[in-house]
Amino acid sequence: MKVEGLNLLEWFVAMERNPDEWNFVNEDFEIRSNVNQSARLLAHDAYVNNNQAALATLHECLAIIYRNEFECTRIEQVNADRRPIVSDIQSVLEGAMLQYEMQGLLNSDVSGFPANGKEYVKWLKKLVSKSPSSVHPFYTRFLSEEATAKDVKYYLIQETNLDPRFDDILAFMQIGLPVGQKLELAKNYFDEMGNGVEADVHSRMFAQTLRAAGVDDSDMSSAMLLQSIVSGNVSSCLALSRRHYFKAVGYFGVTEYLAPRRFKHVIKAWERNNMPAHGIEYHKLHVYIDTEHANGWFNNVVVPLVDQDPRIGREIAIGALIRINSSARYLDELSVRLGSNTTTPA
Amino acid sequence: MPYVVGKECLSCKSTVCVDVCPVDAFRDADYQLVICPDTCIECGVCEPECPVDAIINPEEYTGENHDVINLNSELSKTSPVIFKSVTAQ
Repeated sequence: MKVEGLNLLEWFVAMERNPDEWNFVNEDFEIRSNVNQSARLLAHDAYVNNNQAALATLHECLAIIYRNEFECTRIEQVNADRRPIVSDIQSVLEGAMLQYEMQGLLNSDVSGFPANGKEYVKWLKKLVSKSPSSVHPFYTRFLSEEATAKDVKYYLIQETNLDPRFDDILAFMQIGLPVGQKLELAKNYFDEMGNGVEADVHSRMFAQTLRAAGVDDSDMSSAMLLQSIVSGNVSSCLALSRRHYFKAVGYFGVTEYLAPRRFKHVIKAWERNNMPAHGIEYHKLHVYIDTEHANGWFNNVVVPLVDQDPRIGREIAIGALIRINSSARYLDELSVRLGSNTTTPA
Repeated sequence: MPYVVGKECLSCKSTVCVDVCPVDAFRDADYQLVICPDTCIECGVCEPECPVDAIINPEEYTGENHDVINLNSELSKTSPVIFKSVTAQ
């Protein structure tokens, strides 16, 4: 396979069409070196040169990598070992993505916190509160008062980058945890599983919301915003790598914490537009259930982690701020796309 | 037990807490905000928002809070729902 002047995304897509090819390429160290170099050039172009086309390509590559991690395998793929090359590329692209997410954080925002777990949680909530995007006008003004049914549909398409995957994220995050933390995530997971009732499984309920809003599969790829894909990739990156567990605790804890205040406005938009009542059950449920999850997450995961080693508090705060900042960029892009004039206040 | 708004709100009434409440539990009384005990779901997201720390966590109630609890309960019956903060309006 020719790889000179390689377009990483095109190469990736071609490889995905022919899974057996992976095993040949794994043995060719010249190709592997070229692919690695292409990934480095792409990362540099995207995050150092601020080339938006390169950024989009980088995140499409990461999205393909994560999709494979979150999907069940197919019979055609059982002999294809992607790891030697994919791990190499993934490491380069994730490294660039996380470096960008972290370089904007102020040291003063992720230090000087209490060493006691309970006091730390109060500090963390204040940290979230002082972020302008914790109450984003896309929700409080646009969705709440102005959005049409078409706008709601477009918003829900973007949300598919996290919501349908959340049960699997919780499953990945539970691996190797002490019992107390594992129990908290397991409770959350069982809620995602509808407490054993198939019709109440949250991914099913969310799919019902999408259908009620008129979303079909063809809408997904064509309407997906770049920052929506970025948010999905950051989520996957933190959930799939064990070394990022502490950041993931902050990231997903804040996700649960912010969901109820935001979903309230999704419900208002849905009802104002007289959309089918059965389609909004997912969001109505999460206004209540995510308040419990957030409190459980803070009390039974964050508190013991910080009590165990206060240095973990810095990682949790970093994860929380990554969530807040990436979410703000996504909501700002969505606001611009929908012409709502509701970007993050300065 | 629901959260309640204490007397510190009298000097401030910034209303920023209203924007984070997922169930619109705040009521706009004449001189301060109060929380409707029948609407509050005890999630606590409002507590860290208050700039004067007026919102009291039920886990931290003391005997001195009885008047505040009664005040929130009584005023919430006659005061209108406030859906958004002054700054968001």
